[in-house]
Amino acid sequence: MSPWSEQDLARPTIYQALAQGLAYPSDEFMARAQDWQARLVEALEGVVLPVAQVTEALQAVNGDLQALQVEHTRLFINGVPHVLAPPYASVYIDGGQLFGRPAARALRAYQQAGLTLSAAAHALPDHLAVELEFMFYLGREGLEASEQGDVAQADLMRRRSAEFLSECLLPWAPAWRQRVEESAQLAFYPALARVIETWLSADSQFLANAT
Amino acid sequence: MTQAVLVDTILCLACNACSTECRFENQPPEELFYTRIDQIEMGEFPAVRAEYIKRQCMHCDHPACVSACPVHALHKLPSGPVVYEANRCIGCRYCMLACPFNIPMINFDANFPVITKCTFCDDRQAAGELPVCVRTCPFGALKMGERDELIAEAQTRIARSPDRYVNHIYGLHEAGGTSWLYLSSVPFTDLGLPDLGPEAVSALSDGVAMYGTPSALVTVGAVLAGVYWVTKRRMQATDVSTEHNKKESE
Amino acid sequence: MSDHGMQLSRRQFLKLGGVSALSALALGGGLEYLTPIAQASPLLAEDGRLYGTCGVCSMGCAYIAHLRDGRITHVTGNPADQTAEGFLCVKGYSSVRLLYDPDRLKYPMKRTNPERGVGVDPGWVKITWDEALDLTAGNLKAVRDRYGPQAIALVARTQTWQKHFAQSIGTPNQIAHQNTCYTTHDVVWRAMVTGKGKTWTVDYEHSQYILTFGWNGMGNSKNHWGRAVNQALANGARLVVFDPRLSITASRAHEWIPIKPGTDLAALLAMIHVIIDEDLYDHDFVDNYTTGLDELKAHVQDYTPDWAAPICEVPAEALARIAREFATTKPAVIAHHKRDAGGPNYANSWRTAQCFVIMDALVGSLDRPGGHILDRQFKLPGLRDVWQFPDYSDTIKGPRIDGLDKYPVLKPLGKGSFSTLAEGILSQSPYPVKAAFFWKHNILSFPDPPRLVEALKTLDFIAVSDVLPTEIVQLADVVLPDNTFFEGSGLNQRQYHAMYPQVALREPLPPVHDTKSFAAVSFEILKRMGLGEYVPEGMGGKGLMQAELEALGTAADEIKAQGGMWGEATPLKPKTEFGTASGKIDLTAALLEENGYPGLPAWQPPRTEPHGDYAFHLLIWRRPWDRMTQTQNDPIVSGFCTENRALLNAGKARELGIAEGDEVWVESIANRIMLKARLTEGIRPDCVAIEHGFGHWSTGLSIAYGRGANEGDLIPALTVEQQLALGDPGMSAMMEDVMVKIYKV
Repeated sequence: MSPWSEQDLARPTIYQALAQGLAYPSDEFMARAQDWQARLVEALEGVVLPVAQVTEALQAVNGDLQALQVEHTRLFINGVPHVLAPPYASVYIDGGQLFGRPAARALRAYQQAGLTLSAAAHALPDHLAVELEFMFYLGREGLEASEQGDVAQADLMRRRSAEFLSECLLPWAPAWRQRVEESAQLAFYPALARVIETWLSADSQFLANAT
Repeated sequence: MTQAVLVDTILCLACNACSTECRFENQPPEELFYTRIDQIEMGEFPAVRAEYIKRQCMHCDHPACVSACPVHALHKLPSGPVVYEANRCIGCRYCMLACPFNIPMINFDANFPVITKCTFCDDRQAAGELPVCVRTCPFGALKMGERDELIAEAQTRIARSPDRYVNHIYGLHEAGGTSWLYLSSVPFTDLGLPDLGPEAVSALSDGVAMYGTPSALVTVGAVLAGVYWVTKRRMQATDVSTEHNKKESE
Repeated sequence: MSDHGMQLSRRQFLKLGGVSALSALALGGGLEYLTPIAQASPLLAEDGRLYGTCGVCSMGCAYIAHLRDGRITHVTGNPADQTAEGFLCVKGYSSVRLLYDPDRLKYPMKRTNPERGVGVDPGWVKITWDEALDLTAGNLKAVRDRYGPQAIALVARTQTWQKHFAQSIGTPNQIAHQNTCYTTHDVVWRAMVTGKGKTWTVDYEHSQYILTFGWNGMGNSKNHWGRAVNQALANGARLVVFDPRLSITASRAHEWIPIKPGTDLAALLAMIHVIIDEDLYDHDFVDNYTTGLDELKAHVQDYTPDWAAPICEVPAEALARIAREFATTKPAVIAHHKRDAGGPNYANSWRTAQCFVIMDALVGSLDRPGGHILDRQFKLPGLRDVWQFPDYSDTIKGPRIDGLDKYPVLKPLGKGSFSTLAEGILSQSPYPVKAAFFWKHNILSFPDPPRLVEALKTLDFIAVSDVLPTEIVQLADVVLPDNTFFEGSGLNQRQYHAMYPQVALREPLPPVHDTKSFAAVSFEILKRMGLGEYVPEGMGGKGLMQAELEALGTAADEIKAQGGMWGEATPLKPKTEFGTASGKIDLTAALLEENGYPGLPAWQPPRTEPHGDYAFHLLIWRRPWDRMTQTQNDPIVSGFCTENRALLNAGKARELGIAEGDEVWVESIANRIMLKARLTEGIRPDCVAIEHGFGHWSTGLSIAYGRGANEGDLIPALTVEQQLALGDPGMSAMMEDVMVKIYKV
């Protein structure tokens, strides 16, 4: 097993930032948008990704929170025509309905890690932001374990990460990204979707080499 | 003795609960359906009637598909179902040619197309449960049980209401006997079931010749997504109204 | 403090600024969506089962939902329910796909595009519940303050919390759909039998002769009744169906008689004539339990089969024979429910509905085995039994925008009219309506929806509570996502098919999305409108259920342990007293007379007849798997029927040069729609039949959108004056009393 590298350090940061980018745009997010994208860019340095587009797209938004909210709603919640790029694994893997087997798979993975969905979040288990947050969690747990010298736990977190990535994220991220690109009116979400897709692929490679 | 199902077509109300629930719970690939309801209209206004028949694999006692398959991907369980192993299938489609009921389907969209069909919910049966269609039918058209008990039941129904039934149990002897048995108030060929003798349909050449041509105007209703009449045509969902079989006369 | 300066190593940067600093952007230990199991309240249901009752139709069949990994995998019927008997219908089974439809409304939203219309993108943004409720309450209050409470229309089913909401606001305008559904039945049952409304229970299982005019219960996949009729047929019963179209029910019948649309009244009057004239009626029943036979006999004297035959285009001998068979085969029943010939399809439907009751009475099939049964129900506490709150304002008794207050026999039944809303709003008569709150109703169910859209555009504010983004949702200012019935709780009283009182337990699935029930939403809005006195402490579904359980003498746990149902199967004790002034079944319908309507059903033709190019009668039907918007966006059943068609007689179509699949215009005086033709032998040459449930223009429905056309566009909307001029106590919306032209595109 290779020693913990910078990418190990970066991984939780990246996952959390991506999940935050996918959340419904809030005043708070817009206020800290610069901070957010700087952190994402920095964390992704060295991993060749089209993250510069995210920066540009965010600049183009120019602080217009409502425009971003309208865009988010129509792509991911309810839109005209119909919800365009629903960010749920079940839609792409399991016949188009929500809460299909991919949701159950994701939920079991969370439960195995001692977690479940919080009521306040009103999110389904296979929502992309939730799955990204779970990858953040596993990465962070692995880091903390490694810092405390608990090699077995660190390895386990790495393995779980690889499994979850390959079962619950990789199979559908490209299809979702394609829908976002087809339907978006602003540049931000397609740029974010491309970063997510390429990052997932890169991370999968990294985990495969590392274990 | 094998498990069997008696399909009493005079009780069918063409609601399609069976075909939708089967598809929902068994999840065949793409838009295929393992079972469907055909709606058949006969006669001329105002002397018109309509009949409904559930179609699915007949789970023959001597399946033509089993004898046609070169890699033994299909076999008949002692309990009744004719099942298949998709990972053995080489996509040769001999079973499709052999089956006198045109049941095996192939999903052309897959990288490596393999056969799929109704398996009589053999996994559910093994767990002591009913097949989805039987469990679902709200109107009593499907009755499951031991084959000889169902035959007796069918004979009772015919005897009790001779004006309501054709005096024949389809599947009793056809093709050597099937696990899915039918009662009808009209000739079975009118419902699209082929006119078969009691011999097992084992030869490939026999199988190819066995297409029933209903004598009435046939409007094939419900979903045709899993079903096709010519082997090379891709299966897809079609509208209720657009499928017709040729009339024998005219 | 580490040695920082300008060049932190990347490693250090990430360690310092990565995980922990980003947490500043996040809440709760860095996790937004996930939480340790120990700290969570149960969000997802545990594996196992939930009891519930289906909400697709008012049959309310009890179901068992099977759960795994927090999701419902499928539903089955509850064997202990006298209606479901262990089964559901295709619509009930399909509802699981509604629950998990990706198009479902998930969060409250408001529009950012001020322009409202068909095909216009509302530019929705997600908002918090607080904002949604404040916006709604604020706008409703503004309208109420400026124009008065009557300027607010609640368009919703007339159920407990909905009535409370409208009445607390003080508006008389609770708009509901029943005059497109069954009000013509309701008023005659009230006048002749029950003193309240129609009864819904029919003992088909024990019938030996089932006669129907336009009833298609078997083709509408009615859960209990389909089984029961099948059973009756197996027991040697005879089924005779009068219907211009060969419905599924007609296809199961011994006789299908393609009667001329809207003339069932003539056929029935002739049958009544025969049964009385030939002394075939049930003397015991009629003498002991009815009044008015002498008047009825005199009234039908001239309505002979020979008189009726040319009107309804059925041979006189058939009418007479069937009448005799009906009267002498025991027990016999006129099968009817809602949108049959006695339902609000024609201007004369209320008289047809009256004849149904008379026929049943003449053969002794009212509250007798094999006939129509008066619903047996528990008396359960009402809101005022449980909570104290002020009387509703007198404004609720004022004139209504839909004119329903001018219907004295109908009004006390607490139902509604869809046919007059559009013209009422547009004419601002008797006053302006400026705001609307819609729940569980959609525009496409109204006659002439384009007209209603014009009317709705004149409103200041529209709020909609719904499950799917239907057409009305596209016109809303504020969208309030509703629970499906899976996510609701309480007790459900047997409504259809209540041979004995029974309630079913509803155990809720935790909501899939951030939805709230109508009740919860309405309480918040009332409070924020300053009408909090109508929402006393503890008011809600839980409290009501608690009071109901106490009244029944049981507890939820007990009901659950018994299999989700409460109520003992008791054999039918036929009633000897009925809900009329005399206590007997009133064949002369004196209550109608007292309110200015004729008490006895005289012949009256339908409103329309073929004229000029308008040569085809419009017939409306439904597929067994379709019910309102609940199944039209379903991914599986939508594959059976990608669009609706204009169903035409094959011979007639050939005459007109129309081939299978040809595009045709179907045009009424209201609008025209385009459909492909479908040819059949199973319909009269002078009719066109169109399936309901298509023509969705809400792009929010990814599957239903753009398929086929809405036949409702062909049905004219009416002003209150036009409606009143018909002299119909049931305020029929005349859904099929429409002639159309058909011509190729």
